[in-house]
Amino acid sequence: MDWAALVPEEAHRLRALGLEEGAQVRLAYRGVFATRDPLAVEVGRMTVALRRVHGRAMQVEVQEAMA
Amino acid sequence: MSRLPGVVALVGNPNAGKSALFNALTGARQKIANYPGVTVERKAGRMVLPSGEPLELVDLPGTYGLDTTSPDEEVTRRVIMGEQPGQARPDVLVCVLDASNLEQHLVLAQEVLELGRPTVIALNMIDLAQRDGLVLDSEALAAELGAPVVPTVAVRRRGLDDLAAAVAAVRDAAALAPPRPRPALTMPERRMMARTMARGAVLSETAVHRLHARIDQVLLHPWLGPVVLFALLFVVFQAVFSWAKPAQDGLDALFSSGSAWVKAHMAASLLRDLLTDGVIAGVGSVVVFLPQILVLFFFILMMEATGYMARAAFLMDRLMAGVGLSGRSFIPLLSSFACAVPGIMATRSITDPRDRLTTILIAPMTTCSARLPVYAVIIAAFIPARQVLPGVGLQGLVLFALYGIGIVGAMAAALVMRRTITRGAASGFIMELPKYQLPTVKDLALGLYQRAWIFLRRAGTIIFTVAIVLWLLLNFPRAEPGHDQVDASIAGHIANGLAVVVEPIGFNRDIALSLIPTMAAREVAVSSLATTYAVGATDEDARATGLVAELKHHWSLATALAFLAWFVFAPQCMSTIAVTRRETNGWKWPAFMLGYLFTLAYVFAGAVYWIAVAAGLG
Repeated sequence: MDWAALVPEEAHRLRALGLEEGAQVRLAYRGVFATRDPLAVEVGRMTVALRRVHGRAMQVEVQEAMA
Repeated sequence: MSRLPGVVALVGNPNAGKSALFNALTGARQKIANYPGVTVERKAGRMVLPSGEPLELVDLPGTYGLDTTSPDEEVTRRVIMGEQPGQARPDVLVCVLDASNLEQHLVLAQEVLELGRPTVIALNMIDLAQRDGLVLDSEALAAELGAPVVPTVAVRRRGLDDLAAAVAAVRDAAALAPPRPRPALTMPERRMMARTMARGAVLSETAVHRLHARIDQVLLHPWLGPVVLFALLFVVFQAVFSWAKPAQDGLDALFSSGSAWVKAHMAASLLRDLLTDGVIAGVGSVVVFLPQILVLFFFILMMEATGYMARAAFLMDRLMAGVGLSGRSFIPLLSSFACAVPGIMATRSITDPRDRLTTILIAPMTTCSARLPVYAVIIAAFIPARQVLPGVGLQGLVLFALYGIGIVGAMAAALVMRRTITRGAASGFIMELPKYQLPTVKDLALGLYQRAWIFLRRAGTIIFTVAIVLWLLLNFPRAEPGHDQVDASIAGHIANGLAVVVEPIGFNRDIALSLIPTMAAREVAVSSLATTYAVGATDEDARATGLVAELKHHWSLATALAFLAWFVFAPQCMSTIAVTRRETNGWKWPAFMLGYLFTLAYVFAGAVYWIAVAAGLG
């Protein structure tokens, strides 16, 4: 997670929503128009909408699909 | 107990079902006000303990933690700590958790428990967790947390008695042995604990058949999603205008007959005129919009309660990002099509202050329902009812264009503002998409009732005052016998002065005169023009037909078009200005709003007038 790339407030909010180091996420939906922004990410049992800038700050390792 | 009733506060993450629990515990007896100095709503009501003792229950704004980022969350923190002026420190905290999302919600619960205050955990929406295939062990969770845990289903009123009993128990226990603060953990530690506890509490987890995921596959579908959204919006707008019509006509008739009754039962006097022309006409002209506002709020509350609103914001985010706003601004702007007042109030959910200010400033440009009467009269008088294409009439096209110009204007203004006065880093868009839920009739009815009451009280008092002031300005000083009362009055003098200013954009003195009372509310333009042209008919419809003929006689087409153009932008609405002042805590931004919108209106109306004259329509 590259917190420095984010505005402090937004970093805080992402953390509060459980998007931080070690979290397991799944990209669920993407936006409509050309850039396909924003993203909807499933983390735990929640779905969180965020923009690509936030997604870009995250480093994701691919895991095998979980049950 | 001899002292004031104790205070219980509901704390929890957004979407934990706090408000539903609050409604279930207190019923309809709620007091909604603002915390002093901030625009955060304070919701308080009365809950009753098993012993019959009443307690004050306060519903705090949802928060993800006590380390706060928005004004709402700051209020929550201050109330819990007992630092909020005008609010006694809560005796008992009820921490509301979404049972199906414990991993997330237990983080805040730990933070609250660390404070060492009497606390009860409400394991809310346990039925939804069961629907998702989760079986939870609330006793194991209670042991882990060291606090009583009560499973509840707020919308089905389950577990409420147990919750009240637990509140009484922890309060009485705290009186004997006050609990102590626990050592504070760091965020990652709390999160790790939350994960462990959540796993420990889950007895079994069957293959999750998550309904909401399947609904989202349609509603958030890259191209199906927007189609559904726009279809829904279309239905909403149709409903706002068609469903509300009978009720609106009924209210209108009620006010006319009330006015007629006063005329019949009172001797002709200034006081009678004040009652009929000032109070009944002024207040009535605003109250007739109540049905439309209720229909619109019905849809908005439905969209919010079901969880669809967050999806709409998600779908619209990209478009709004184009002008420097985010999907969160979509909800207030949608409300503004009925009325900018609730729209501006709805901006409270926008966390970024610059985003919020921009949204407030552009909200009056969306075509609110008060403009419709004005548009309808002018279009009926000047635009021929001609078919442009099969099924597309010229009149409807002009109306559509007026809505369109408003939207384009609002977007352009947002774009300019985000580069100038509200410049700053592009705002982000981070938002939880809550689970879908069926709203309960009771919660919906309560929400509608509260909105109606706020509208009637707020708009009613302001309009009432303005109506009386305008009436006084139009009637004093009294004219010499044989002279025109309007000319002699203060308002008449102002109109003559104003006429000089508005003549360059094609307006005559009659329009200048009507623009003054129209400051109260836009639809007043219709009735004041009618009065000015001294049409004898009393009821609004007959007046409008008579007015149409008068307008055709007195105005050129260019003037009429300029008048329409003026109303697309002119911020002629006292309630909007008042609510902007309240929401921005000062006169600076409402003054700016007045300035830029009047400038736009003046320039645009002038441009339309001169282009029309040049095209030979003068």
